[in-house]
Amino acid sequence: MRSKFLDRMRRSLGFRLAGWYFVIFVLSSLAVSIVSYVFLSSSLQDNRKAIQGKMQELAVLAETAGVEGIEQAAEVRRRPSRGTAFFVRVVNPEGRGVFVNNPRLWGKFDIESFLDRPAEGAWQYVPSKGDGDVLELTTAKLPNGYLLQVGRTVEGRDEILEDYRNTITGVTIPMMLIALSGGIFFSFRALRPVRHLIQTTRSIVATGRIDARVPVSGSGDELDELTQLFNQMLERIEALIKGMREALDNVAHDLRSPLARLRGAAEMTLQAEAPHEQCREALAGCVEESDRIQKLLDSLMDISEAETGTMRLQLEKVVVADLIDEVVDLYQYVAEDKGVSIAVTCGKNVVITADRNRFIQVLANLLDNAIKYSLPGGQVSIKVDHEQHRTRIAFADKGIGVSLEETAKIWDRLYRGDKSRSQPGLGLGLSLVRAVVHAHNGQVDVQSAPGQGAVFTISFPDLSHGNLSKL
Amino acid sequence: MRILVVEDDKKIASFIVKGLTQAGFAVDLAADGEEGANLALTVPYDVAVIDIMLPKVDGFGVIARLRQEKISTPVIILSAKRSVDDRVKGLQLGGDDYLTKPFSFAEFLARVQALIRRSQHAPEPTRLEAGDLSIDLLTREVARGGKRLDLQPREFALLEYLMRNVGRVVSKTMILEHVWGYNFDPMTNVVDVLVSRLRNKIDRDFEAKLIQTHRGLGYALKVS
Repeated sequence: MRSKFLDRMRRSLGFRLAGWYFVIFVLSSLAVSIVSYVFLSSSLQDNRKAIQGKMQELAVLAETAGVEGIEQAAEVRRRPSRGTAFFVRVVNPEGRGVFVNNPRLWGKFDIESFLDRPAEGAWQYVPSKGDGDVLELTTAKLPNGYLLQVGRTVEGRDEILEDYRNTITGVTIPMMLIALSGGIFFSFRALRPVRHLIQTTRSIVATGRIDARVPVSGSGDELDELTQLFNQMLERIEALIKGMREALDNVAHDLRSPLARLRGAAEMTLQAEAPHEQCREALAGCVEESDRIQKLLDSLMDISEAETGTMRLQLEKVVVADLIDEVVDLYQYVAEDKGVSIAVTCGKNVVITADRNRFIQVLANLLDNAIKYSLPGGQVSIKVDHEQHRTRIAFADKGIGVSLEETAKIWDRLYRGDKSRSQPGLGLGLSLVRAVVHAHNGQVDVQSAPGQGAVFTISFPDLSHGNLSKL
Repeated sequence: MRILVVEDDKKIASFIVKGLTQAGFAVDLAADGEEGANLALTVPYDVAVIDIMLPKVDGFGVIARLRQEKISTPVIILSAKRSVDDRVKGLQLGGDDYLTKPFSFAEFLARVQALIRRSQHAPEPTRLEAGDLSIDLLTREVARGGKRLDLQPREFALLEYLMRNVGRVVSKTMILEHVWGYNFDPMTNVVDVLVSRLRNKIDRDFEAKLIQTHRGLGYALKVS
């Protein structure tokens, strides 16, 4: 259990991110410390240079202001910080010290005994009486015969470095803590969208509820984009599942009635012990009914496929006038029988990109509809308009027309207006028209009033202009 | 004429075998793809009827194996799937025809006979006759009892199709496919309208009616 947890921790992206952050932060901080330490120590190496510089400064001062000037300058800082302070001593020509700055500070060095014979220009080292400090000093002769001695403790350098080391050691632990908490904080924050994604996905897998969505942070970064795309994908899947579920429900529902009729006819005949001829009639009825069920199933599948976007369209360029001619030819005798004339207005050059068979089916259904609802002796006109990027095909009849509230429902599956109940048909024709036209990115429309006839219009964008991505 | 039927659904298989036997064919039945392929590879059949969804080896596999072994027996594919993809796949693999379940037996039989005719390269007749009705396929002249009849192109196409299948029932779907070349269902029955027009010209003025309606099945041209 414990090792499993550790194993998971080790593989967790957040843990690794925090780890890397920690390592890089600590390493770079250490590097900065080491570099500055080296720089500091090398600059402190220049003790002698500093002493010489001070010596020159004081020598110039002595020339202008004499020994008093030196005294004043050296005493300016009453409380110099340890280690950085210079030791300044003036010795008269008789060899006796006339001035030492801050005697209390330098008291621990045995200056008097050691400096009886100051050596001009040489470097001298004066050990302290107690703690092993060493005073590094040099001597110069002033023009008036006085000797000027300037020095500084060597120990100061080591102390500064030691202080520095102590400081670094002191901040190391807080720094590591900062690195650790920073690493955890950043990885926690950066991975928040990922955690939401995981949570949502897990809940969908566990509950099967596809309506869950990942919260979007709105930061506009890559993870935010991923989240949005993920949500879009979920929406698309949800729509598809919903569409398919509805389609399945509808198909099941729509098939029940004809199946009930089929079963009923067969059962009645079986029970009645009907004579041979009557049995044949019943059987023929059953065959007809099963043919109807098959057609119904085919149409419903077509509609479902087109509506859910799973219909495979074999797109090609088709000449609209040719297709209309074919369809008019198909219905020619039907129209003649009813005394309905068909007038076509269509330019020879109108071309659209469509699935040929599906498109003929659409045209056939619309023409079928127009003839069916025409009164005997009436006229059906088919008119094709081609505007810039749109082709419009209108089927107008002078038949019984459709009322306003019916025009909305007329495209619904299995809807048949009251007046058309006596007309044969499955009530799926217009639904199929709409579904297939929509699958072609087109639109359907109906304009009508009772007794005024109806105009059914389908219109398509020019698919050849690169509108195919949705198909 | 010997026909192989590879079909695992017992009821469908039995009605196909019964129907084909009644039509005068010798029929062998295989209930899975493996048995079917073995039979087809050893016996020279005139036609093979192969279902797609089969145990062991599926229909596509059987057809592919036959064509691989250079067996050119004409194949009719039976399938419960009506998608264009399956149809195309079946025909590409070497199937000769494709029929979707459920199908009418009359249509199935007509397709089997058409395949046999095609593979036998029977000479195309130029003249068809049934009783006192005759049509000339070249001049497109139709005459009954010595009297010339004037038919429009679709009417002629329907009559030609009925006469090529004289004595057999053809379904409305078959007529639609042969006369107009469509395989979808036009809502109003355009076939009924065409048949009644043809009847008016062929049968109305004559005692013996040639075109018969078989309810639930289709139409047949029969000489009594």
